[in-house]
Amino acid sequence: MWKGGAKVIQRLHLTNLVQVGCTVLLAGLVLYPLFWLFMGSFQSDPRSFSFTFKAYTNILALPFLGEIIYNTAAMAVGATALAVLMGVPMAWIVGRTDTPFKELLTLVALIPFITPPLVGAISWYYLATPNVGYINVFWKWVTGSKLPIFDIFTLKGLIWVMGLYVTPYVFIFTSIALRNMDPALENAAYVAGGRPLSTTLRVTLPLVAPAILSGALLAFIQSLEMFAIPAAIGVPGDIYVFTTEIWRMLLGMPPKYAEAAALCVPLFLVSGFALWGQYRFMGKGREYTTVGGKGHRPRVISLGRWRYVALAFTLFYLLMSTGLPYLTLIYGSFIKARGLAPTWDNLTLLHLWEVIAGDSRPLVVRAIKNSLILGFAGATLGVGLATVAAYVIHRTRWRGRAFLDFLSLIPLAIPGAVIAIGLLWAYVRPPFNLYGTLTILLLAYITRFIPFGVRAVGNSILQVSEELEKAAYVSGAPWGTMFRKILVPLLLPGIVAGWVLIFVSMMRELSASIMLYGFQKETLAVALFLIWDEGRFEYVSILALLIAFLSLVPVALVRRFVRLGETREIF
Amino acid sequence: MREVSVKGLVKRFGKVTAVDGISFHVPKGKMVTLLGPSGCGKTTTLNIIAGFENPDEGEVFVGDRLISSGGLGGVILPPYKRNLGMVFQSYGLWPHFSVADNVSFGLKMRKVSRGDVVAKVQEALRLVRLEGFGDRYPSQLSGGEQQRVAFARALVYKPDVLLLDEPLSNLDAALREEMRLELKELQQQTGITTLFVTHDQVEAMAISDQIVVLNQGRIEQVGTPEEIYETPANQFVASFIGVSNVLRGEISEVPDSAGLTLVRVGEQVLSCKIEGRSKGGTVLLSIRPEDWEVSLQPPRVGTPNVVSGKVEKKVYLGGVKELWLRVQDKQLRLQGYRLPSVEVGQSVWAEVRPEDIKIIMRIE
Repeated sequence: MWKGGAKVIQRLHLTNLVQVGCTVLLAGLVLYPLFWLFMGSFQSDPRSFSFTFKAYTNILALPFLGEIIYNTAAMAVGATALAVLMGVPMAWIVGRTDTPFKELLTLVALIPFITPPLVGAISWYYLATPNVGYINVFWKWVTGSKLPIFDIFTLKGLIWVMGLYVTPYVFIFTSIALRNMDPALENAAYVAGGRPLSTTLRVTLPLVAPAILSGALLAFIQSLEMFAIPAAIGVPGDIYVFTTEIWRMLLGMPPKYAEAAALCVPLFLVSGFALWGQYRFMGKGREYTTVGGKGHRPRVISLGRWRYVALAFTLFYLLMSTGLPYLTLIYGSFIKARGLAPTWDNLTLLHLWEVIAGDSRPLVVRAIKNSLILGFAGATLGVGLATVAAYVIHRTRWRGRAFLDFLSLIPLAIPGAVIAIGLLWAYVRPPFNLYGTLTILLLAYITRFIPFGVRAVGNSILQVSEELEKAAYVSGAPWGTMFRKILVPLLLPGIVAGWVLIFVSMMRELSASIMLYGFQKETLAVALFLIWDEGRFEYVSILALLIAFLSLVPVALVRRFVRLGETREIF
Repeated sequence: MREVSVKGLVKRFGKVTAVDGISFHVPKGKMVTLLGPSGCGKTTTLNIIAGFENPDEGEVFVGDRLISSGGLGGVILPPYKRNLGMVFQSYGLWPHFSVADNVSFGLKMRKVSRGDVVAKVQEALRLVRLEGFGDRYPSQLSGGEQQRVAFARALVYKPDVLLLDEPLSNLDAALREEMRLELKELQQQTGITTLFVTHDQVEAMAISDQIVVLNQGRIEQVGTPEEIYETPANQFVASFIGVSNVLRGEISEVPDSAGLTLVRVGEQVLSCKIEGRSKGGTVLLSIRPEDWEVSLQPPRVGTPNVVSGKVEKKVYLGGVKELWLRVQDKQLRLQGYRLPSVEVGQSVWAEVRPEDIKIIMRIE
């Protein structure tokens, strides 16, 4: 069919171009801003080139530096501890015991994970403000006490809310490990005479320990990088952490870019270290948490009367993280005035109308538009790049693939604030001049969330046999054709899952947006934060519900329609 | 149809040399098998021919067209330009395509016109006896049917050569035997030059015109199934192909009265038929387990090649029985359908005909 003997010298194939191109692109996205972050911390102003330690000496001279470090450490460690104390027992309860409704509980437990932290933080702001917070009002009404039961604007309050919203990381990691564990390991312990309690403590828990640690480290990283919760809960109580302090530096006149950069450096190093640890422990975990033992199911432990305690424990978490916050927001959206009893006469649709037609309408419409543009463009570009990167990482023997793998992982360790300050330094100057544009937000978003895409598509690729690719080549398909006709259709579940994950993350993104958004370039999360700052409870409730809705619905859809194991592992 | 020539192929992975100077030839329309244990380099060789690996040294020709050559400035034709057909171990059927789409893919890549595609797909499915299966999806087919679709897909565009990468190893035992015959028929019917890779020596025996036995990246022997079995070139081939009793012995310079060569193995003297004159020296002998005759009484005096020993182990293999016999310091394995019933520990006599003793190697 082809002319015999045609000499085709090995030349620049499309695959080589793709490998190098996608690595360069990712390196540009990830390393360029990081480079400028470090550079920036040694300069005095983005527009001049000088070398100075002034930013660092200024920071060290801050009178409240010690307090910020203490607050940040206490918040991150406390929230992580809380996450382990709640997440591990819950994972065990739904994974190994006869507690009623556990399937339903597993599903509901995902809601706090998908709920944007800002939404949770704002509802807790309304729930536990010392005098007018609903929990405190209720407490005073029930007990007749004059004092509130819980003041949210304290370090304890900050840890509590943060803990609620990072618990899912520990819960999900532990659940997956429990599910993937070979049941034979536990059954062997039972056969050898182990009782349920001793088997759980001596076999089950040690086996999932790497996963617990790994989830805890992710929770720790999340707590460090979170802006929404410290801003909504900490700032009113005058409790500042790294992220809120960096934000305050940018708000100053003039903005302290260099100091912000200098403050980002330790933040990045700590989360980088934590991610490195997470990666190591997860690697160890893989060795023995393999799927095996076809047809065997882990033994369900009968808790007897204790199962109601287990149920209560789980319900308590769900009430705190999901029930109360959402009830508050629904109440706020439809109540005539704050503080009225939720009777039929006190409800109104007026707020909804005001959001649609009132004086905040331009901001809301603009924010929705901006967020949707960013979400669609970002998720599409991001998952496209992620698909190619995942292919190169998992399916080629190219030497640079380990570096690409590394590149696709570091953004997990880059707090939103750090990416934002890095991008500010990198792109304020010519030839970019991107300050205040949607493009700089898009760059920040893609960089932040590319790891989700690479992971989602990567999981899919590992499930597609390499023979399918080879068969296409042998049949006469060049790389591009093979990729389009064979690989992309087969990876579609992973690609869709990755797209949704990136989209949802972008819809809620605040840590970087709050530092990067420009005039008339507010996103939904930024708009929510601004309106909340103005103290408009009704608007805040409606907007918060809208953001939550935009996160929950796509995830629900993808879980409904993409019936594949790996999407369940991701969400 | 074209022939395949592989010349001096070398492939290294880091410090490991997976393929170490392999040369062989697949004549036009014949079926040649690369046979060897895992890690012997057979799959790497196949991958080089298919174009999934690039050789470090050596050349691969299909007909007179050079498709792969090693070294700097070597020729590497990408797999999609080689016009080969391939059937994979787990078939590699695309699950998102129907059977017809799977089969027609290669035709579409060759820009065959729409009408021709339909006709050729029909013809290919008829060839593998799957007419009317075109609209089904791979997941709706049994293992054997998937296997046949894979063959149809590989054959439909009339490739120059068919490459088979252990295509039968995923089937259960009964189906495997059936498919083995079917595969041979298919190959003869289409007359396609075929290179088959397997670690299963029975499979290789049953369907090959020629077998290339590989071990540790090198060729141990090339020959027809009979040649390989009857006259193994060395100890590896003798023990890898079937079971064999390999014994080390000294050739005595004086032949016996019947003109047979005498070989001293330990205390025992065996008379064998050896081509040409022997000058003495150390040799390795191979005796197949099924070539022994076993009796409970000592044979009459004068019978050549009689050994006696104690039964150490008996294994029932379903029809075939196997005895492990301890003769002095050596262990012999004996197989047959009609071995006498014995107990472990019992003494028996075994004899073997001179022509069934093969000399596989001379050690100078």
